[in-house]
Amino acid sequence: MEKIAHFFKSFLLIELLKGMAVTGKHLFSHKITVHYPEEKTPQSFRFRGLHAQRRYANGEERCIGCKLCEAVCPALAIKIEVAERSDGSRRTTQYDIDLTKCIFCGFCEESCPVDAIVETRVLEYHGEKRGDLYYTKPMLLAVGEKHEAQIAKDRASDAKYR
Amino acid sequence: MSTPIIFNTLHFDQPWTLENYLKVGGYKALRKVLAEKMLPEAIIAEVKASGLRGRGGAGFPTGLKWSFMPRNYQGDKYLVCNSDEGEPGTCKDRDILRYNPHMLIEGMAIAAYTMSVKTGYNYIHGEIFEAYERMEAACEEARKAGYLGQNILGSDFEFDLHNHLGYGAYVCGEETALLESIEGKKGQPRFKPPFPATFGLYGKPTTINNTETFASIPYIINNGGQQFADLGVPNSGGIKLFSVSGHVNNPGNFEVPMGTPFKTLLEMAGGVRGGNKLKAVIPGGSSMPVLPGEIMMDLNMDFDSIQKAGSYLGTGAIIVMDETTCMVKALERLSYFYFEESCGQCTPCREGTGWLYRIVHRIEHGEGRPEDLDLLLDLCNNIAGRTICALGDAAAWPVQGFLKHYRKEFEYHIEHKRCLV
Amino acid sequence: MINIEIDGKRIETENGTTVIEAAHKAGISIPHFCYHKKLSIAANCRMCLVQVEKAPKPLPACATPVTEGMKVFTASEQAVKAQKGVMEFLLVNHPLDCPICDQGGECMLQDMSVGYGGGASRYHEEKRTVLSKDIGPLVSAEEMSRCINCTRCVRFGAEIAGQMEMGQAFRGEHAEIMTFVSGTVNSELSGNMIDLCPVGALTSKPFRYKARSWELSRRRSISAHDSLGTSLAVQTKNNHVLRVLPIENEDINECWLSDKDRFAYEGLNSAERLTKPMIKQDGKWQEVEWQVALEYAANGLRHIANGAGAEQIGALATANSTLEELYLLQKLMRGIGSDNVDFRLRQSDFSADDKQQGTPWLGMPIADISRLDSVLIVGSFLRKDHPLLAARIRQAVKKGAQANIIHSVDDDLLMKVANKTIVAPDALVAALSQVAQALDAEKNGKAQTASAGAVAIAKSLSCGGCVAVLLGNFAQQHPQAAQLQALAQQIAALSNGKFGFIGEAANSVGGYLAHATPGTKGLNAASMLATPRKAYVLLNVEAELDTANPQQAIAAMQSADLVIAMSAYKHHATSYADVLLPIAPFTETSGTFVSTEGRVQSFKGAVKPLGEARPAWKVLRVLGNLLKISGFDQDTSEAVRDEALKGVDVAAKLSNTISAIDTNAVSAAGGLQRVSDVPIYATDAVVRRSAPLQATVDAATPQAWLHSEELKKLGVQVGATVKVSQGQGSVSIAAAADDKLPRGVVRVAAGHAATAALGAMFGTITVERA
Repeated sequence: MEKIAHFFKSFLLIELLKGMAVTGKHLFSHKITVHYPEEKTPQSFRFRGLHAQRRYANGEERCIGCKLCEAVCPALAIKIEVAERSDGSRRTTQYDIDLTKCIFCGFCEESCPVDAIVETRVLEYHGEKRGDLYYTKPMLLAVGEKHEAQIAKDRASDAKYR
Repeated sequence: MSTPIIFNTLHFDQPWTLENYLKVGGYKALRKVLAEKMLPEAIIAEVKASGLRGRGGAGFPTGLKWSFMPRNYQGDKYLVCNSDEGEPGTCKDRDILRYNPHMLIEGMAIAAYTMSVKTGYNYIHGEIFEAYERMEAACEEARKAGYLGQNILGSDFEFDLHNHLGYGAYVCGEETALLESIEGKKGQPRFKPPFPATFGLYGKPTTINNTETFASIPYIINNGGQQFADLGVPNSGGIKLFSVSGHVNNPGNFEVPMGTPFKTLLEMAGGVRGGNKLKAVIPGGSSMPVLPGEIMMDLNMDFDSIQKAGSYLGTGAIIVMDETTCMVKALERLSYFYFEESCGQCTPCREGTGWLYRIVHRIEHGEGRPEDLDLLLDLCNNIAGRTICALGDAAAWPVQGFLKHYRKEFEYHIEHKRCLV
Repeated sequence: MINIEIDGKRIETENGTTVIEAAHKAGISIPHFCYHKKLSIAANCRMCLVQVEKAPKPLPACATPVTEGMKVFTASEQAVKAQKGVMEFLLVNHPLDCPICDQGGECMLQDMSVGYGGGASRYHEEKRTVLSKDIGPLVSAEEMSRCINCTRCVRFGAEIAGQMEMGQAFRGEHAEIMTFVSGTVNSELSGNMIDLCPVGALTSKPFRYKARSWELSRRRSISAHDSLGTSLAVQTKNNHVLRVLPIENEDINECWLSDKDRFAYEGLNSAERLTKPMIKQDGKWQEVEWQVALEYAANGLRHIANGAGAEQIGALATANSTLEELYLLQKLMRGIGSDNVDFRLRQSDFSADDKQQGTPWLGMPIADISRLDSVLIVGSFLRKDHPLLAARIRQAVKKGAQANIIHSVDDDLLMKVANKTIVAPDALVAALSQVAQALDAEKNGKAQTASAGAVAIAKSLSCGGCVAVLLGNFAQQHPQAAQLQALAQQIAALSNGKFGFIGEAANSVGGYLAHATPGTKGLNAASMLATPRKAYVLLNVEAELDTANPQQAIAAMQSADLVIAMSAYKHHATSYADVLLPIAPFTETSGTFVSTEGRVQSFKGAVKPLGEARPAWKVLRVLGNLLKISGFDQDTSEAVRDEALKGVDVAAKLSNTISAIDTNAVSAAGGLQRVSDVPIYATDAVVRRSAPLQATVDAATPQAWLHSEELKKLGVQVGATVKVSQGQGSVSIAAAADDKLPRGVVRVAAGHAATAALGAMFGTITVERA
């Protein structure tokens, strides 16, 4: 009985037609591939790209040097040194992220009590030398200043889920 | 009430003088005790038979308390009178100090004789300076007349009484905080056990009683415990001073037998002001749960009846509220009192009383939230019974009482941001 | 013993213990904040509420005594509800600043809130703020809003430190922990409040924002700053010592640590650290390689030994050098052929040296001090010299022991002193012999002829219980130290007690075990300086601060042809030394200290030596090699230690027994006599360079203290500058009045730069109006 079924299946090229049907369906369906870099896929507001350090609206840096990100970082990519600033507040004197070590897990962002370290939507960055991807505090702050509007918008969209 | 027992000198122009006290048979009891060389056991038995229960709020049987004092203790023992009357609504002890100080002195001397104590302290609330001065004068009179000091009335009994003016902290009415305060420390309750009977003032055995309790002693000695007990009802012996305050026409202290109907007491106080309807009554000082007027009207004023109705007799301070009273506002005021008077020693009271007040304050000012009432009750459960002294309970009970009987009013406040009345 | 049941577990416990103690003993944890095993019970945090069968409401486990058949439930519904309720109350006014709090990561409240705290707060009102307070250079009360009013700090001050410097002011929600009238906390044990504080309200000021707790590595070590042998945890990060904490050791330091041990580490990275070997050439200091410096030193020593003779070389070391260092130093000296080696730099009477066989020590284990019934403390600035020992005696006194004092000053020991005799230094021997006489009379039923004070002390000592006579630093440095020792021995024998020395420094016992004392041919520390040598080898020594007679020491150094200074710091030696060899302080080397109770404790280095500094035992070893002395081939400090202690039964060596010595009171000298203490934060090189310690009240510039009658005689006002002189040297310091001093004495501290120009720590001194 089984043999007969098999004979008819192969004789009538049913498998082939099934395969062609899939091809046919995709021929007319909506395409998801894009012509990068002219075209880009949409990003989630939780996209984890290049890191940034944020400032408050009054220009004060957010980071208080609690070192939770340093402690939680699974790749040991963050290095922080802290000292008391002249006004008595706790501030970092050094905040480095080695992007060649970073695995973009987002734990640093998640652990941050003041939303200072964030991952932006930026994914197009490069370094010509290995050291170029060692981001220091001024570099991270610069990224933050450049993208603050987007960063703030993304945090706001995510706020209700946190 | 024909002849008052405690305020038995009130008919004189100057009821507080020794002369007038002697006219009404003052110091007869002490004389009797010393002349007959009564055995301490016999005195304690009389006090036990009288059914006298502590008049300071907790209602602990006085005779039993006295029997806890170690008999054969070598060294100093102390007797302390708690005249630190700070409970809002209560104003009976100050009137004893003002109008019949010698009765207190006599009562304390008998107690001192019973427990063979040589030194007594009378801790007076810091805000009643007049009472302190009168008490000092009375002690001086008594000392001169040989009722205090060495060889009292010719016997070998020795007892002296020192008055100590506090600084007005409510918590110092708590017996161990009071002891700390006499010792010159910050008035904060001690953890019990050890109880004062074993580790009291300066670490020595100490008995602490309320002013009214001591003042009841001479009558018991003169007339026997049973006669005192018979004045009242079972389990609540004798007479009691009730301070009636609030929305009544004639507020004041009333000396009536235990078990007197509240209705009678209200009539004595001239009824509710302006003929208004009675709304609520706090039957035993501000820390006790409030009871609705209609329940109160059927109650007798004794320990058991009030307890059955869900409150306590406490100090016997009756706060009457008429129908114009906003219960939220009333509770806000009470909560504020306990918030300000917490000593700050233990966590639930220090942090909880402020929280309670702030929530009630918010509700009163139209910023209440629907979940606030359950939060209040939960906080009360977390405060009551979790603190070193009873101030935690005192802060929680009014909230629980008000919410139990007047929850609707609170809900109205939250919903409409204004009073129901 | 009674039986109780906690969480279904049957426990047998002693009558009188509390539920929390019984639970902890059985390994059941009960959350708590205010409870601390060494402090009185306050029961104010209410965190330890547990359910007890038949009790109507939850009871605090810390204050509830166990009763037979009691059933306790620490995690029942009722108990947990109570605990969670309390936690919520604790958190309503606690700031949410854990990320910047120095306590973060090691905070009891943080840990406990994980177990008992809610996910979100139900408290929407404003939080309480408490103003910050400045309570001194050691303890930071910067963030008092964090305080949960557990009053551990208050109770510590009142009960352990002996003075209630902190207190809870105000009432209710406004309650605050503060010092009295904004004063500072000056206790020499104040740092323990930091450890006790269960939250971040009291934190270490020098450690503020230095590191998070999880970044630190922890190394065991032993205190180098007093003779107790306190167990330390040295915490480091990036090869820097950032914090020192106590390790609990019931036999030694219990769970406490003196401020000196806790904050001395700040001196380790002082700018004065010597990090490269240096040689003085043509009067100028030059940094050189180790090889050059060592060869220079070795050649110099060889030259002197071959020329003037080996006995012209002397070696001096401080008593806080390690056993290994002291051992190799004496071995080096004896290898060269000199017997001149000593570590007892502040001692002035060495006449006991040939009269005692053993190594002087405390005479009993430290723990036994707690069990004393009566103690006679002779010549000791107890509180400042031995803060933790003082705390132990304070506890014993609280339990009923009697403390008797014979001394030349009457500083407040913050404990009840039963009897005291305060006399001038030259009358100390007489005072002690009076006690011996009175005891003899008391014991043998003779008529009492001694002074009333002596009789009172004798009565206290003949109580029949546990008795001890302890000789402090002042007695050991006294010019008649041997006589004091002999008298102490006599008194101890008469009262069936023990006697001993409270060692001055970390290795006061170890120095003897390492033989770092002169033999019969050699010169002791005093003679080495009194009859100057041509060459000196100094180990850790600051000649003008660490010796009994700075004037003499400096003169000897300056007249020497060669001074080799092994030091961790670039200090005054630059003016007299020829070679400076950078060595490692105790945190950077391994080594061994033998504590005053004879406990041999070895430790490892916590960090690498700074710069080119090297452990002194290695330096000495190489010097031995360069001088071609045999027996300098140890590879590790352990090998050195094993060699030093080979065949030595330390316990058997410890003995204070001294053979007969004449006790004769000296005739009173005319004029004023000097009484000198070494201030608590001037005892050794590391402590002297710890900035926070130097900012304390205890480190104030020395003053000339006199009885006010003496001041009147001199016509000097309090606070006026006076000229104090000894020999050729004089200093100008402020005059101060202390009416508890005996007449005829001036108290001028030693060991401090301001008084280093003076001479001997004892003897005559003149004070004039400046």
